[in-house]
Amino acid sequence: MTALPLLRPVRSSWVVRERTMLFAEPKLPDQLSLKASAERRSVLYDLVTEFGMAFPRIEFRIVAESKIINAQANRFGNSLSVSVYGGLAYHPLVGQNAIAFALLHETGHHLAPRPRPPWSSWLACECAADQWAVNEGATTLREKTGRRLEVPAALSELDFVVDSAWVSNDNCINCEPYASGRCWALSWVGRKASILGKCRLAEGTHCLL
Amino acid sequence: MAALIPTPSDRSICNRLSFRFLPATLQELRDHQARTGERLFDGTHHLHRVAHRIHAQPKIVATSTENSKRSRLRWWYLLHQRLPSNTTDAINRVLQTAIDNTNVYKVTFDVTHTVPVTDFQLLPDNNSAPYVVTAGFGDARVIYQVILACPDDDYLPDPQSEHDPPDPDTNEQPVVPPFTPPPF
Repeated sequence: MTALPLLRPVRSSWVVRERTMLFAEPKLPDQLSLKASAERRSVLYDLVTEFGMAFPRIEFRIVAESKIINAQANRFGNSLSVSVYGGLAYHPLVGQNAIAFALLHETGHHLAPRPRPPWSSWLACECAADQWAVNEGATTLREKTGRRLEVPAALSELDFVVDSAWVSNDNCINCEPYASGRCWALSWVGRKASILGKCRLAEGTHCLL
Repeated sequence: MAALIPTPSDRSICNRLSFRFLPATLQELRDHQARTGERLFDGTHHLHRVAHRIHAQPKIVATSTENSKRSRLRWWYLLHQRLPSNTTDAINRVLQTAIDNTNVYKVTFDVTHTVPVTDFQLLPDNNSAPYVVTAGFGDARVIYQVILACPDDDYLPDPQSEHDPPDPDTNEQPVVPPFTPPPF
């Protein structure tokens, strides 16, 4: 499944630009959702099944009823889970590679060994999750299921949904902690570069978020 | 809080709350209670004021001062005016227990939309104990997980009525020495 470039010009109107606010996420309008698409549902079913095979410690699920454009790793007691919200899962500009990357990134929060901030020791940093996703995670997924993650394609698809949401933060690329080279989690541009360059944080460092 | 697309304010709140309830900083809360008798989460304090006193408010380096204040006011509003009373009660109960019960090693904080709810509430529900994980020391020490489930709502409003910082509670006791602020 590929993204639909014809829809690209409208993206900035349905992604919230200011990502600093509380308890609300960008959402996908109903009229753009692929929730009714049998093809998309089949793709999602295959992805969730494959991820369950590759990473059996984690429960993977699609939160179909949610319009939020995002994904999340959670730990509830001893239960580890990864959820992809419906706004991302059924997004018309997002294809298999982006969803697979999102699943791997969230899995990386659980399984990447470090860095992990002391105040969030159950979940690895954003940068660690990214690097785990495109290295150990993608390798395990390919070995266990045969699915190959196309990282550039995944990032291009995600451009459609995250670039305008992050534009204000890119203005702070010279602020701490970016200037220290320790964290790029709030800069989509920096984050993409680090993923493609396979940059890792130095030992003993962690996000300051 | 681990999301593909980070929401800085929400994450900042969770991280700063989690910092406040790390073993060493949780001990500061216990020491304050032992020294003054003040029970911060006994239901007679306002949560937003307590949050201010323990440095549990959003603070974001990668945004403007104006946006930081906006997020802070929304956070005060959520705690002061928006949370259902039974959710406020549940938060107070869990956190007061965490201070009173020395078997609580630390507390972690998270928000999620993964569980459909009609209004803000703790998980698994407001009446039960929080999710608990053994601390891994082979003894009775446990870690509490305070997870706020959020309805699939819009942004919180920009409140005109909230004071920044929140007004003091009448029964506040001086914090000496001051609580250690988060290094972020």
